[in-house]
Amino acid sequence: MNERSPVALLTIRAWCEDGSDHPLRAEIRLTKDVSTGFQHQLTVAYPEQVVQAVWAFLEDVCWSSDSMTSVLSRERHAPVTVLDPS
Amino acid sequence: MGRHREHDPEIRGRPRDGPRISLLGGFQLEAEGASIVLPERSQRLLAFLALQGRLVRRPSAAGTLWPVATETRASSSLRTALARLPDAAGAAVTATARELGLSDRVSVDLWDSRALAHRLLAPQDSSLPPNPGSEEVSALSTELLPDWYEEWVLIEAEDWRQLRLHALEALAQRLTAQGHYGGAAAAALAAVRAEPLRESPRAALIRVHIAEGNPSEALREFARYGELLKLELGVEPTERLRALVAELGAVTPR
Repeated sequence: MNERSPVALLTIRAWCEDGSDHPLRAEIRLTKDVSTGFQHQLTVAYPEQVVQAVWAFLEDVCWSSDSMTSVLSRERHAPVTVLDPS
Repeated sequence: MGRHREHDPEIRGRPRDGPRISLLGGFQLEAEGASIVLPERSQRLLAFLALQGRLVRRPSAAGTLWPVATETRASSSLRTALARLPDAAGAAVTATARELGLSDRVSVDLWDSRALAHRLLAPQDSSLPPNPGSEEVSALSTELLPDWYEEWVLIEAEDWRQLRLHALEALAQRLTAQGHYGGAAAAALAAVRAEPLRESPRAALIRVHIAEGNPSEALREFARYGELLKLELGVEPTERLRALVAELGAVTPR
């Protein structure tokens, strides 16, 4: 790893409110440079919002890297595979 | 909690006259009645050892504290950090060629607060003071090393956050049952402040108001929470919470 390039960090605190029509609660904190602390925070109740936040974060972190941008573009359109626990 | 129990002062009988490390609200080291100013490297080392609560192998400490350095560089950085600890801070560390940790004379505020939280969560703990109140709420109301973002801190900070929230709710419930409504409300409010969108602290606060005979306050709190949920998340309170205030007349269960 390049010691000089900033390290971005995204954390997701998630819990369930039992009995709610939309039980997911996800608090998302993120920064493009962990040495400066968290710059943004939001809480959402829908999984697709979490996914959108993660994608936006990755694109924001890697937008200047051609190779990474193409990886993100390819993966975004890939089918989602749910692993069978059996 | 197993790795921390050995450092519970009630178990080890640790003296309280040795160095004291504070991790709640920020890092601080006190020794012989004075606050010791430490460089960041020393703070990180002592904080790491305090969070481990046990002897740690040197390679593990070095690799965690200097994750992007080579093994050789990280080990060298650890040796330098230990050598450059001021005398008062150096006395807080016990080190061998293979391991290091905090000395037996060190106390840590997080350990005390964790022990308090676990006593509050124990169903029939008799070691609590008869009227737990503001001192206990204060001990449970502070974040672990805010503004520190290393992974080894974040995980411990989240663990502490959850523990203290549950303990504050348990304290609120206990004080409500004892009729100490002021203290109960303070404990519940501390939990609400820590997690404004979580429902269980709101329920605890509403129960305090109901028990105290203030249905209007209970309904106001319910309305405030409902508005916040709508604004922030576009959802409504759970049926469980609605049922809590339904008997007060102004809310109809769905």
